[in-house]
Formats: sequence, C-alpha cells, structure tokens
Amino acid sequence: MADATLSPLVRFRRGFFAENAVFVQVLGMCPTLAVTNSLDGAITMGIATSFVLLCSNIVVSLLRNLLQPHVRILIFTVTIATFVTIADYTLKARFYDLSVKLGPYVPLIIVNCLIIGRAEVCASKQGLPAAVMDGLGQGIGFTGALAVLGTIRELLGAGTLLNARVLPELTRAADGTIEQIGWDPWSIMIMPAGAFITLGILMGLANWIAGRRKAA
Amino acid sequence: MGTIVLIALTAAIINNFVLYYFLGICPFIGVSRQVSMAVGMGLAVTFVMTVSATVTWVINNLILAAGAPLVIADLSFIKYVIFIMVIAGMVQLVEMYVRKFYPGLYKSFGIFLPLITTNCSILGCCLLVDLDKNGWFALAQAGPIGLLHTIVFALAAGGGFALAITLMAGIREELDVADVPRPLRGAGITLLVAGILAMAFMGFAGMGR
Amino acid sequence: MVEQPERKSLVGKYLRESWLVIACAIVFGCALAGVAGATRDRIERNKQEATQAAIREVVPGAARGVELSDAEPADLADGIYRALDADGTQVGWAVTARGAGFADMITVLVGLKPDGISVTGIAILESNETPGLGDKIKSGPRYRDQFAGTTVARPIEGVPRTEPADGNKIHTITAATISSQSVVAIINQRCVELGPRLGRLAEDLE
Repeated sequence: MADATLSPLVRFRRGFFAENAVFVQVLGMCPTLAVTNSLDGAITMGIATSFVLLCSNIVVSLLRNLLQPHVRILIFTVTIATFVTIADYTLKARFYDLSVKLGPYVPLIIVNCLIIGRAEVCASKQGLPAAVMDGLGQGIGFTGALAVLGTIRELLGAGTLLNARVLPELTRAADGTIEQIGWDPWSIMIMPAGAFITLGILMGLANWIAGRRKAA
Repeated sequence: MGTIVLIALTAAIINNFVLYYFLGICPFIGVSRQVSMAVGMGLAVTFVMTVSATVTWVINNLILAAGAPLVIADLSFIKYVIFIMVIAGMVQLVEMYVRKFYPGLYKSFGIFLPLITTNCSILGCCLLVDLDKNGWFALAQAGPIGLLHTIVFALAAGGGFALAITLMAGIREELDVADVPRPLRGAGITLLVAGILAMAFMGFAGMGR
Repeated sequence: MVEQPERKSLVGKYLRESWLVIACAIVFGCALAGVAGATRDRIERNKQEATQAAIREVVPGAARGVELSDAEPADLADGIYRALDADGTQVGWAVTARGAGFADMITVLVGLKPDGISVTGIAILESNETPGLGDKIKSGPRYRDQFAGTTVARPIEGVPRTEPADGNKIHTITAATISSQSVVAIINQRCVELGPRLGRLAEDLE
C-alpha cells in the first residue's frame, strides 16, 4: 500500500472498507470474537479501541521525529498501555455494567495488533492530520465490523438487540407444547463456536464482494 | 491437590485459551501452517507465559495492589503498563537466549518470536490471574500458595494453547490440498474449522465438577 | 585513563537513546495517577452498588445492606448483610453463597426474613452458565421467583417439572438440571446451618 502519498481524507475512507481492520487486514481478532456476543459490548469495545487508536496515533505522530530505532516499540507500547488504562478507568467509573461485561478484554486492547500496526505503518511516519484521519477511519471501520458481528450474534443467539427484545420469545409449557410462537434462540451464536463460524462466513462474504468489485 | 488439578484442567481444556477465551487468535490463524512450527511456537508461548505470569504476580501482589506488603500507596493504576513491559522484557530475553544458543531455531522463527509480545494470550493470562474470579491466585485470598496456583495455571494455559494451534496446524496441512471455495481461502476457512473445534471442546464443559 | 571517556560516552549513549522513554514514563505516570485519583471513589461506589441493588431486590422493603463487620464471630462475617429499611430497622438478611455450578462458580444472594429461616427471594450475582440453557437461572425470573416463600429450616429440593412442587420444593429448569440443582445445593449448604444463627443474631441486635 503506497501510503506515503495518500491524502488524509483518502486514508479516512480507506479505513471503512478497503483496509477494514477486521475483514481485510485480519487484525484485532481477539476482541472481535470475544465481546461481540452482545451489540452493546461490541459497540463499547469498538469505541474504546477507536479512542486508544486515535490518541496513540496523535502522540506517536507528534513524537515521530524523536523516535530512536531501539526504543520505538517500547514507546508505542507504553503510550498504548497508558491510554488503555485511561479508557478502562473511565469505563469502570461511568459504565460499570459494560465494564464488567467486557471484563479482561478492555486491557487486552493493549495488544490489539491493529493499534500497534497503525502506529508502526502510519503514525510514526506521517504528520498529524494524516495520523488523525487514519486513526478515525480505522476506528470507525473496526467499530462497524464489530457492530455487524454483534448484531448478528445477539439477534440470532438471544433474540434481543441492545438487550431489548426484538424477536418474540418462544416459550414452552411443562409438557413441551408451544405456548407462544417466537424465535428459538441459536445459543451457539453467543458461545465461542458461534463467534468463529459467524466471522468465518462474514470473511468469506467480504472476500467474495471484494472479488466481484475487482472483476467489475 | 485437587485444586491444582482443577486449575490445570480448566486452563488447558475446559476454558481453553484459544477456543474459549479467544486469546492468541492472531498467531492461531497466521502461524499454524505446519505442525512443527506450531509445536515450537506453543512451547515458546508456554515458557514466556509462565515466566511472565509469575513475575507479574509477584509485582502485582507485593507492590502494586492496595494493602500489599511492600507498598506505600495504591499503585494499581500502572498495573497494565507494568504487565506489558514485563512481557516485552521477557520476550526480549527469550529472543536473545534463543539467538545465542539455538541460531537455527531463531532463523526459522523469523518475525514470530518478537511478535509473541503482542500475543493476547500472554497478557490475557496475566490479566486472568489478576482478575482472579475464583479466588485462586490473589495473595489476599489464597495466600502464598496463590503463586503455585498461578504457575500451574500459566503452564496449563500455555499447554492448552499449544494443543489448540497444533490441532489447527494439522488440520490446515490437510486443508492446503483441499478444494476450498475462493472467498473462504485463508482466514475464512480457518475460522470455520476453529468454530468446529470450539464446538468439540464445548464437550468438556462441566468437567470441573 | 582510556576507560573513563568510554564509560561516560556509554552512559551518555544510553541517556540519549532512552531520555524519551523516561520522559514519557513520567508524563504518562502522572496522567494515570490523575485519572485514577479522579475516578477512584466513583468506581468504589459502583462496585458496592451492584450488591446493594441486589439486596434491595431480594429483601422487599430494604433500602440498603450493611455488611456484618468483625465485631461478630469471624466465620459469620463473610458476605452477610443486614438488610435495613430507610429508618435503619432490620427487615431481613442478605447472604452471599458461592459454589460450583455446571460451567463455573455461581454466586447467589439469598434474601431471608429476620428470623433467618424464611426465604424472601434470591438473586444470581455471578454465574457463567451455558447461554440459553443454564443461563436461565439468571435471565428468566420464573426460576428465581420460586424461591420466595421457601424455607431453609430444612433443605430445599429441586424436582423436575413433571412433579408437583409442593412443600419445600422448586422446579428445575428443563434442559438445565445441573445448573438449577447447583443453585439449590449452594443455598442449602450455606443457609440451612446459618439460618437459625442469623435469627438469634437478629434478636440480639434489636
């Protein structure tokens, strides 16, 4: 990717589809699979990651001329860890239930390959506007991907969306007869296996769409 | 003794790091092409995980946590920064050691050795020990034996990770000669197979009783 | 004499390479300390609030729960709350009980009347059961509502839905027998022995 000459606006848009973090770059898999069993968790994780990505890109871009080769990665890591801690504490203070739901996956943003990747590829080489737009674009693309996954998994796996019931619940009486017609949730969707399978199918879909676009 | 077996079983199989906690997915999808490389990576990760978990346990419980023996104030806010720096340091040490004494192995690992730093499973192991949902690890709840529990947990978790990627590598060696639909090639089919593996491992749920 | 300048330049070299790291460490450390200090109380309150909300749920009429401090016998003090109403009179007990579920540990909050024997309700504080199946102990109110009105003077029994649930029995969730029975076992193990002691304690504290 000839990144050096891209304008900030192009970078911004590339983050959505062409260089989508999840479907194209295949980065940041751990949170993508882990927290997308509910839509609110997915969106929260996406926003938290975007926040860290943006701040880290800004700091790294500002410091880019001072980076020595040996300590580059260390600076990236410390910067990211700091912003993740800030995000974690903010979540715990303001959105405690979501913080408990996301559990250890918030601090795991530190090792999200996406953030270190962007710092390495873009922020450490580009000026502030490019870094900001790149961070925003990638963040939005990442959040979008998580949201798609979260919607599918929560809807099919529990019949709810954002914890509000969307599909009517199928209830049975004691002897097994159906009391109320509704969606019998595919529990596998909320479980790890469902995450893998859903993402796998979506990847295939994304690749297929990309293939059609190229051919067109 | 029973607790230790339970911890080991839980970490390795019932709550397998890759197939249940989704930790270490990036190398899972990326590295696992050959069984030999997968085993090597698994061993390296296990080693780094055990050492890191031990060191972070010591630092966390003796220095950082509120009320810890060697502390002057509640320093838990730099916990994550310290964790990741310990891990990065350990990986550097391992890298230097392997480079000096096993240069052939070092070459075949290539970029993947320093990439272990960003392996979610190692930081994830340290975080799970810190989160300590069952009161097995924290000094305040389990006492000094928490350290032993932590070591067992990390060893077993690394073993479970090695098991998962070796299984995956074996399957992928077969997949490479299979006729996979074009859109699914690469990450797609790997994820689908991982899903089936995860379903298989679900059978272990409830073993803890 | 040759060593001196070499050593100086080595230290200088290290400093030149690492000054940024040290500077960052100091700046970030201060920032984190600031954020932690600003949010600490809020977070503490949030942690308490989860349990407090559950106490209000399991003991009707309770406004808040006060944990038994170590003035009382040591083995009682762990996770036992006096449920007080707005005026401060005790309207019940809230007891946390923990044990093995199907997939992981389950933490139950049991609401009891001041006599320590009659159950007013239960809440599941922590559980990690199979979503859609064992998870119904937490998600579906039907299972939990059954416990109100039972007693821990003798062990509660879980029976399948085909049998009548009279006496001190509750229906287990179909296809989630182990999770359902686990909750019952956890409650029994904690409360059957504890109940009368709490009853006597309530009388002493009045």
